[in-house]
Amino acid sequence: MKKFSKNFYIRVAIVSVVILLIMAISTLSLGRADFISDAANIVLQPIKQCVSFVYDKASGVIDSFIKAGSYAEENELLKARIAILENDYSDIEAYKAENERLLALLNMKSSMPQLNLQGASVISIESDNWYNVITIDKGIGMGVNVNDVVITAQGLVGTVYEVGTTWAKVREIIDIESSISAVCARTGDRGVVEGDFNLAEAGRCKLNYLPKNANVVIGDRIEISDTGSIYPKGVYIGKIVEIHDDDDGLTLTAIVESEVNFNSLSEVLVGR
Amino acid sequence: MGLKFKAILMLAVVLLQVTVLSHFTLFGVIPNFIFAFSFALCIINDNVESVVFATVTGLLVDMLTGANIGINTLLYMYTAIAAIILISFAYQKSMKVVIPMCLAASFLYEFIFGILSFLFRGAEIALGDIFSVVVPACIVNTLVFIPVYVLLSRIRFEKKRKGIRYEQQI
Repeated sequence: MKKFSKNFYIRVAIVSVVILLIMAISTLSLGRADFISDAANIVLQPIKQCVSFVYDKASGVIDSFIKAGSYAEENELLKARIAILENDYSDIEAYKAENERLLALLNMKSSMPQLNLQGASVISIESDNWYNVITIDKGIGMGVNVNDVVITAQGLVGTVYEVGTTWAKVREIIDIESSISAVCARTGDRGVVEGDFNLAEAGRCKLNYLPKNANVVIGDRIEISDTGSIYPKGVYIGKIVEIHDDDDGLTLTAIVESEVNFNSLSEVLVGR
Repeated sequence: MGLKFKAILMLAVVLLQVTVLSHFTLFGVIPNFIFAFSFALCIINDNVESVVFATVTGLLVDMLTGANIGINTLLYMYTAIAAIILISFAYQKSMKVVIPMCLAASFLYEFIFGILSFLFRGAEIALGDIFSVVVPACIVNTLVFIPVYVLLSRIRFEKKRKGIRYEQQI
């Protein structure tokens, strides 16, 4: 108790009374900040904001260092989760695409009541540098015969040329051995759609033997001919994209582009 | 330590406490760096200036935090006076003396602060709830106090040593 003088304790007592008075006043202020607090906060607010800003930035960096291990673990978990979700998404996309294809085939079947069509799945695509052939899972046992047409919603795929009990081989229209009597839907000009080695890659084939005076233009729809054909008439083949005069000067040749994607065939309709 | 240096240091500690350090918790309580710093200054300097300093610090804390103005001012002032009186009885400032002092002072500070806060707010609280905060708080404050005290003692010691060397040179 020797440390402080008597005056000191008197001053402490006075200060205490003053502070208690301030406390009493500030308690009665009912929500409104007292003048001293208000002034101090106004003065120090920019500094507090500045310190908080620096802290927020720094804590973000420090946090990333401290939690680096857990972030790596979380990252791995999230990657695994993303892989699963991507797989699911891929499946959903595949189902969606399949659904759309099947729906389109169903619509096509309904739009061609004259044809006795049935669904089939492509079980192999034997398309190499020389042949454009697919195998479907329907054969004689299911009523499939040679010269039946195989179609998708995009048009004619090809014709059946070999049939087994539960399978059938289909020659695509772009194959060099393919030959189908065709007609221009708009003008009625007739010709023969044949596969061409150089055009097959682009999903195109030739429409040969069009008469010189044929009125065909680019964009005309080509279908299977109604006369002189062993195939059911009216099946859409493709659109004309080019027209050339033949060397003999008597006929025209048009290039027909099929809308069928021959590289990704999965479901088709087969019948006659 | 000069008055300006101490003032700047204290302002920095107060600002850090109310902005940055209040984000950290230890044993479920926020360490009170201001108390630790103020108490350490009082122990090291043990003079009237330290009491004034602690009082101003308390006032600053009251102004910047949500506490009723005056609570911290009074508590810091009385804690400083008590610390200086007690240290004068102890005749030494070793860790085995100052740590129990800090524990006791921190306990009293936190306890009275808790009681007064609830009294002023007109809220009811069980005594057990106060102790659940006060006990870990006084331990945490003491844990914070130790390095602060060591650091400030070293600064003071270095300054004193330089002063002696300077006097010897003269």
